Amino acid sequence: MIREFLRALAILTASTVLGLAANALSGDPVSLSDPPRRIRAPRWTVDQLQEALEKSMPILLLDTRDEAARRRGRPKNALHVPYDRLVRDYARLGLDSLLRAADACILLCESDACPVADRCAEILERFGHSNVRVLAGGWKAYRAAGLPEEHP
Amino acid sequence: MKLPFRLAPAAARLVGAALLTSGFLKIGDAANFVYAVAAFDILPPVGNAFLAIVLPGWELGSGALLVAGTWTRAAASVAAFLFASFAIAVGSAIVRGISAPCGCFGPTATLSVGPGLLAVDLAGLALAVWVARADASTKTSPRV
Repeated sequence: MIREFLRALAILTASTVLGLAANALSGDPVSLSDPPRRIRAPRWTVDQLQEALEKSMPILLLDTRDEAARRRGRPKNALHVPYDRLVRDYARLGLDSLLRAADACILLCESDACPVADRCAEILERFGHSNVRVLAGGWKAYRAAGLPEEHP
Repeated sequence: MKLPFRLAPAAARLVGAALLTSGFLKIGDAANFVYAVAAFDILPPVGNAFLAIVLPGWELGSGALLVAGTWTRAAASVAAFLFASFAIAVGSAIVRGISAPCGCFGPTATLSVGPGLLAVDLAGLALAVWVARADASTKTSPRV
C-alpha cells in the first residue's frame, strides 16, 4: 500500500516537472507569479436594458448559454451564440455588422456565477467592438425583471 | 455484473490512451488552456495557471504508464484522482449553469460542459478504480 502511494507520488512529481518544463520551453509560457486574471467585462443592469428596450434603442442581445438552458426559456429576439461557437458563428451570423449597427451588444449567461459571457465579451472586444456589455445577474435577473421571453 | 479481471489490461490501455491523447494535445499550450480552466470559475488565478501548466503532464505521465502496463495500480490511482476531479468540476459547472468548452482535448476541441461530459468522466473514474483493484487483486492472489 505504502509502496503504491509512493509510486503515485513519484508519478505526480515527475509529471509536474514535465509540465513545468514544457511550459518554460513553450513560446508563450504562463507565469505563476503574474497569472492571467479572470476577465470581467463592463456590466449593464436589467433596469438599463429595460429602459433601452422601452425606448426601442437598437440593442443586440446575445444568449451565451447552452441549448439545454435555453430550452427552459430564453430572452425574446436574442441570438443564440454559445461560447464554444462564437468565433465560428461570428462570420456565419454576420455578427460584425450587427454589432456595428447596434448601440449596445448585451451578452447574457445563466447568472453572475457563470463567467462565459465575460469570455465572449473579451473575444468581441478583440474583434474591435467597444459597445459590448454583460447583463448583471444574467438570465435569472432578466427573468425576474419580467422582460419579454419566449419558450421553444 | 462482474467484469473479469483478465480484461483489466485492455481497460488500462483504454484509459491510458485517453489520458495520453488529452495530455499530448495540451502540453506546452498552457497559455490557451488556462482560459479553459478559468472558465470553470473554481480556482483563483494562480491556481488556474498552475493547473493549466501541470495537468497535461499528469495526464501524460499516468496515461503513458497505463498504456505501457508499468506501475499500473499507482498510475490507475492517479487516473482515478484525475477523473474524480474532472467529474466534480464538471458537475459544479453544470449546477452553476456554466456553458463552457471543457478544454479536455485542447483549445480547438468543441466538447462542452454538460451531462455527456460528466458521464464520460464518471465512466473514466469507474474504469480507473476497477483497473487499480484488478491489479491489486492479481498481485495478491496465490499463484498455482
